[in-house]
Amino acid sequence: LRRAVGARHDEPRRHERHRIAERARRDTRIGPAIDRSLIDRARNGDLDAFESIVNARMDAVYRLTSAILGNEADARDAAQETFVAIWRQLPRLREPDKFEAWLQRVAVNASRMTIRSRSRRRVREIPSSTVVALAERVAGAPRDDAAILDSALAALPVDQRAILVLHHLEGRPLAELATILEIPEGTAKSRLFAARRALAAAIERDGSRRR
Amino acid sequence: MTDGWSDERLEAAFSARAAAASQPTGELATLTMEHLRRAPRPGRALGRPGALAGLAAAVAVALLVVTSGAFNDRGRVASTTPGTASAPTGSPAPPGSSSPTVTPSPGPDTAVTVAVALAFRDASPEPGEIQVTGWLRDGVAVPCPALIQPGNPARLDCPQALPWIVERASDAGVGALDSVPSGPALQPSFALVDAGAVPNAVAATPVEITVTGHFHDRRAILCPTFDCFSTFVVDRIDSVADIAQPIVTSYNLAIQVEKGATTSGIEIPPSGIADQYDNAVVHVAEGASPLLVLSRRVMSIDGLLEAEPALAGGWSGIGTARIVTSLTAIETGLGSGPPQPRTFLVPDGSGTIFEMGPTGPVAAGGVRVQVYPGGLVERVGDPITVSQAIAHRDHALDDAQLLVSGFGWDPGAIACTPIRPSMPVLDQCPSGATWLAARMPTASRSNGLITPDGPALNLVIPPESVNLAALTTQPRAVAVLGHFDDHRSATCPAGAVERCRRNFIVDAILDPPRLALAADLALTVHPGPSNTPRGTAAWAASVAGLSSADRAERLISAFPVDVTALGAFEPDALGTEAVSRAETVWLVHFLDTGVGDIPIVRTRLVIDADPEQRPAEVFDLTEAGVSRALAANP
Repeated sequence: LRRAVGARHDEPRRHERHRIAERARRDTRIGPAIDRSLIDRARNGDLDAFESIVNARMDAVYRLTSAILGNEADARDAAQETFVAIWRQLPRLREPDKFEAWLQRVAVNASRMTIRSRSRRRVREIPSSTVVALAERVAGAPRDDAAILDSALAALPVDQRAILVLHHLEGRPLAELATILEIPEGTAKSRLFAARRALAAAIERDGSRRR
Repeated sequence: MTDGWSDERLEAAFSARAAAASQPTGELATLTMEHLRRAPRPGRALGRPGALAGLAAAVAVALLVVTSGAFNDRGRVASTTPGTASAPTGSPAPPGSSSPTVTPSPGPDTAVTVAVALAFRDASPEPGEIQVTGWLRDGVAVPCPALIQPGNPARLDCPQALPWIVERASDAGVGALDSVPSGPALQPSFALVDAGAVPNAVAATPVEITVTGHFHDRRAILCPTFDCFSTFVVDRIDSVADIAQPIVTSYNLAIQVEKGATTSGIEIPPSGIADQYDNAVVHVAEGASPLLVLSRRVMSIDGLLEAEPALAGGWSGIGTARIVTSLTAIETGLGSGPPQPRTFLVPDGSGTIFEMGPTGPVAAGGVRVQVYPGGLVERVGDPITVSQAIAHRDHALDDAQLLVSGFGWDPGAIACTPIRPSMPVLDQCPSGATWLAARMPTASRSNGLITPDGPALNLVIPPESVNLAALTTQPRAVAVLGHFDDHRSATCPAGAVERCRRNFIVDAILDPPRLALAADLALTVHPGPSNTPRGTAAWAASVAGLSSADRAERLISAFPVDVTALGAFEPDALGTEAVSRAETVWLVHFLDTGVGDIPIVRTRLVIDADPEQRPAEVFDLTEAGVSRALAANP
């Protein structure tokens, strides 16, 4: 009984620690918050201010698009498209305080559009990292979790990839997922659940094929 | 997760996967910024998804035509090799156009290129509102002939001197007088936007610009040639050099005035805040989608005729307005094609919004933005005392119309020294013995005349008011409608102008129990020498802007005057071009609202004519001189 009670008492603390750790990791990855004055200046057409935003957020946006798309060239295109769209739509941003969430939403949308346009391309580029990974597989190198995940994600729709990346890589909790994806929190929860089930199924299928 | 994939393991896998992926270099940010510096941020979306779908469809049609090589500018057979894209060009077509990559820009928020805009122009005869982005370069400095009047926003007078919007900065062309752009280009008409908002852009350093406008302007039908249909009429400048531009109000308040043989140009002051009509216009179509205002323009009558040449024949809704506000708006709801520009006109003080239609302005949606106050007292305020009128003169001299209560009398028939002609507001005999006093005078007399024994004003009764200002030699209670600072004060002798400004000029004398203008009297007074006019007083009042419904408590008088006698009433009008061909003119005096919403009396001059003959010629008479008004032809 004491252990059970202790576990209940420990649960919030563990949860809180997890949230703090998540936030620290996320903040480290995204970088310091964008200065509101920079956003305002960019909204008013100041391209130099926008350049500062691009420099501050290009890595984070590229990491997100790269994680969703799993392709270097596509990720670069999507990252660029993200900032082009941000620049064009910035004057109509109604809540500048939610710039970060909006930036990630635009990046997800840009990734989705890149996937669509890629499906129309006849010739696909093969990025160097994929070539290296293939070479490693051919060489019989052990497949680590990252490689397994990479393979499984490729089988998922882009929206499922996006919600998994946002949650498990970017550390976004459900409430922020809902804000970024512009869906109710309950919907975010069910979509995340469905994505994780789909990922598990893909990992299992991939493993079965290899066995 | 299944198979032992806990959250921690999954997150570690994601992190490891991200770490293994290639990292972006600074080059990616640099490339992005270079791209953004080349492509300007477009302005506001036109707000009608269906419209842009229609545009895309029209452009697609145009692309088939353009890329097939069958036709180029305006359907002429192309000389290019079949299978190559020919450059659609503006008007006039620049030679040596290169083959553009004509690609409709996707998405609702993206401006189209010049080439796409030109393709759209050739694909659709409708004046669909589109957003175009390109590079602006000035025209070349060449001497231009006198501009044709009236102006027309769709007509490009002296096109060599007008700017171009080119597809690429490298197309701008540099240098010589005959230099024209080398690629897709169009010559926009900036006639409807603020001239100060159009950037200077010499050919060597063109400026990025995004504009919203349309081809196939409705005013093109008034041009002598079809070229006007190809003019891109700009309704709004969205951005300049990547800087988004706000909705602006442009002004064209210039008027040409005549004084005797002298003609000059002046500007009349705007009457109010231009955006006061925005909300009424946005919701002018009840039940339909709200409209989006693109631009506003506040104009004098001369400016209005430059923007709307179709109104030169008169406009029944103009009333007595001297200033008209025009708003250009587009629909924001779904539609089958690009939103078409809609033009709304609000005559100053009319209270009604009009929309320009195929046959002229029509009242729009029954929306009234202002109700003109009705009765005389509502217009000029309650009667004030003589002392208050004197204080107004001494401390706040202006031409506000005043209603002053007191006791008035005139000297009756007295011997006067010869009066000076053509000085209607100079205090000459018998005005020195015509009084409005605060108190009923006692029997004090001087030289046989009654003199006031308290605060009093001398009354100057100009010739147009003689029949409206009946006084007796016996003081009686009256209410005098009149004003200081009459517009004719400047016609007084040198050294007496300030004195004339301080004279109280009578427009009518009323009985205190009935403070109302006599409608019948207003149309029957005839203070000038007799003549035989062709028109009638009711016609003159109507074309001057006072419809029968608008005359009550507003029209003071309308009467004919032989032009040879005009100097006694309006000295400045005598000898002007406006009356040079007339034998008889009508003078119409009426209450109106002046700058700062003060009540004033205004005078209009109507050239006598057969009432069936149109357009009537109407002029405003002000201290500046004689200027054209727009006939309110019934």
